[in-house]
Amino acid sequence: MVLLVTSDNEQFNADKDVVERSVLIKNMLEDVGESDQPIPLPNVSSSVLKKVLEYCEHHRGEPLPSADADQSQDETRKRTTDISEWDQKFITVDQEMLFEIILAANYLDIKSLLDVGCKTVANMIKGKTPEEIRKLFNIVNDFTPEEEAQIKKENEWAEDR
Amino acid sequence: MSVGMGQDVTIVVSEGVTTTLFNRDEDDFFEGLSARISDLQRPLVSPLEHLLENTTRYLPMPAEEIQIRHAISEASARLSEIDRAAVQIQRLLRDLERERTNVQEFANKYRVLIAPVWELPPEILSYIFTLALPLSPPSEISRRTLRPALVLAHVNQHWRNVALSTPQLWTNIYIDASTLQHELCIPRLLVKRSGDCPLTLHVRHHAPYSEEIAELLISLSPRWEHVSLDISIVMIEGLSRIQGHLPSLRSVEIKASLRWTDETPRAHLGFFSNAPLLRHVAIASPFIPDYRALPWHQLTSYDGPVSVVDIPRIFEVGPKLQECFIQPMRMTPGQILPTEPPEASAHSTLTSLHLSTGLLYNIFMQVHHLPAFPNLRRLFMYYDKRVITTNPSQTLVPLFAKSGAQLEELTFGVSTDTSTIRTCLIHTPELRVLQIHRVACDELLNFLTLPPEDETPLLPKLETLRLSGKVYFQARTVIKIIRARWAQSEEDRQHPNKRLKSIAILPPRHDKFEPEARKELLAFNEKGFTVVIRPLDRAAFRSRTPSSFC
Repeated sequence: MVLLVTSDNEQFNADKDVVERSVLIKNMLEDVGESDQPIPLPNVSSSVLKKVLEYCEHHRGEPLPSADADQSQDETRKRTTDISEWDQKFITVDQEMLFEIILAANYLDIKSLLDVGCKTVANMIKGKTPEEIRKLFNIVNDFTPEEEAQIKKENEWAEDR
Repeated sequence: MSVGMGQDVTIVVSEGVTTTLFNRDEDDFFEGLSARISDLQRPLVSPLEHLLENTTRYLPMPAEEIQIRHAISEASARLSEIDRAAVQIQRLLRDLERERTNVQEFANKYRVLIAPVWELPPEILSYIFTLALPLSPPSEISRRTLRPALVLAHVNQHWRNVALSTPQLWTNIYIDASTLQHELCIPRLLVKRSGDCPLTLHVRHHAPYSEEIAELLISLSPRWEHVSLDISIVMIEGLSRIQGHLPSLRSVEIKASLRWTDETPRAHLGFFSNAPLLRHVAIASPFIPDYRALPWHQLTSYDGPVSVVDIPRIFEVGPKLQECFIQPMRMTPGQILPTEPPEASAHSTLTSLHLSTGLLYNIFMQVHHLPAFPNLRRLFMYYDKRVITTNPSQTLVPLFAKSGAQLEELTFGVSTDTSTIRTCLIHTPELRVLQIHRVACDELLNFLTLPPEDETPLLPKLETLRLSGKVYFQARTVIKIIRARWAQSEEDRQHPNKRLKSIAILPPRHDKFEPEARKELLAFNEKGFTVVIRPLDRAAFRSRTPSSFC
């Protein structure tokens, strides 16, 4: 078992083969060797780590992308499209949690979880207009008049004729 | 902002701007409102109510008439009161709605400051942007193809900065004649944004020659990945310098406006002969100057014309071909059809073969010269109705005998006798989807009903049947097939050959079924079997994926 300590000082015990889906934790464990020392995760809160561990537990035993995976393999991973049914249900969370999970997956270096999060955000964006995207993510249009003019020019060009 | 029970309801919409919805204690307010409504619900009474019970016409006395008029006037006054109250409540609701919008905007302004999306570092946002693009390169690039990338760059400054520094977003470059009016400025801008990424290029320029476009294309040739050239012969001649400089090229498409003739110089296809990654070639032109100029040994997909004489040969020189969409070219004077079988007896990688032709004689002579395709899964054969198929048992049948064993999808539109078609189908036991185009008749369809138990059925795994083109069969023949092959009951479901799930009838315009028969066919939909009757989509029929139209 491995003891993890979150940014809000909560402790989580998890199986080694579950937490080793995180390349960061795997490397840390390899560095420290056999030890009971807790692993601090200062960038991950307890609520997020709980979700991350739920994901790792579900995908326990699945092959990890190898460190020396070539570009085409990497490309396939990204492009092999849809999010599985379980992952989709797992990632159905509020926006704040969704982005927290992405950040945690990035920090902990869990590529498959990062993909699930990023694909979810990408799917939220697909087919929307800039205005709809702004509304969705609470973003303010802060373009200068010059930038607006360039945008208008680009839009005009992109019209089929 | 303060909102609470037992105090005035006051909303500070923004600094210095305070809105008070109502100056009463909230409980008092609702109590007052409730009392007011109760007051309006006070029953109206009249001393003459007993007169209403009279069913016969009663003429009131003058004194009674005064009382009646009084009752009416009291009701009118109450209605006015109710209307006034309703107007007040509606005004209040409108005020509340307006205030709700103000408060929402107020909250949104603050939400922006802590919007979770801001937490994403640029590299993750950039990665998300690449995932938001269409999965595979578009089959046809137009200016509109750029839209998804532009949307991302038009959200706000931060997203624009991230988008502009994500080269993968800008790799679809479209150049057409009208682009020239803007001196290629947008395409050049996109090229700049795309960094060193491989490019998907679509060039549409029918005017004789543009040095500016030619120079731009040549300078980009090391980055060509997927290229569609809809340009004139002179333009393509001007691209000779690309030869040997196409290290990333994977697919090339040459469109119809490039009009080759027998006299066209043969060098052009040679420009692509040593592109090491080239796998797919598509040529939309009735002529190909010399098929040998292409690097067949590495191609996995070919879509274009092939001389009748060369059809078998391309499988000898293209051992890796997986998908072939062949339009046979007419024979030119001096060409002689081979009589010997091909050198290679089998081609094991081909899984999809599409043979279609317009008016062309003697195509049948080549079919039996094709090698065996033991892994062929999809076959599309469509010949113009004027194509004569003589001696089919020596031509068509051997093709199916050699290559039909693994076939799962077949589109058959070759005019020949019914018994030959039946013999061909005997060789395709794995077939799940069959489309018969123009040649379906009652006699042929009768073969598709199940024979007695002790005989081997034709197409035992058939799931989908499509009958397209002119209707030369009766609706009742189709109904017979459905009844024979559809597993309606639990007992039927145990039957190994009752797998049919749908039938589509796709006439050129209208079917000619009797209304009753048509109704009977469509009624199967209510019982769980799919019957579609609608005009054939001709463009989809001839496309690379004919199954997509049904």
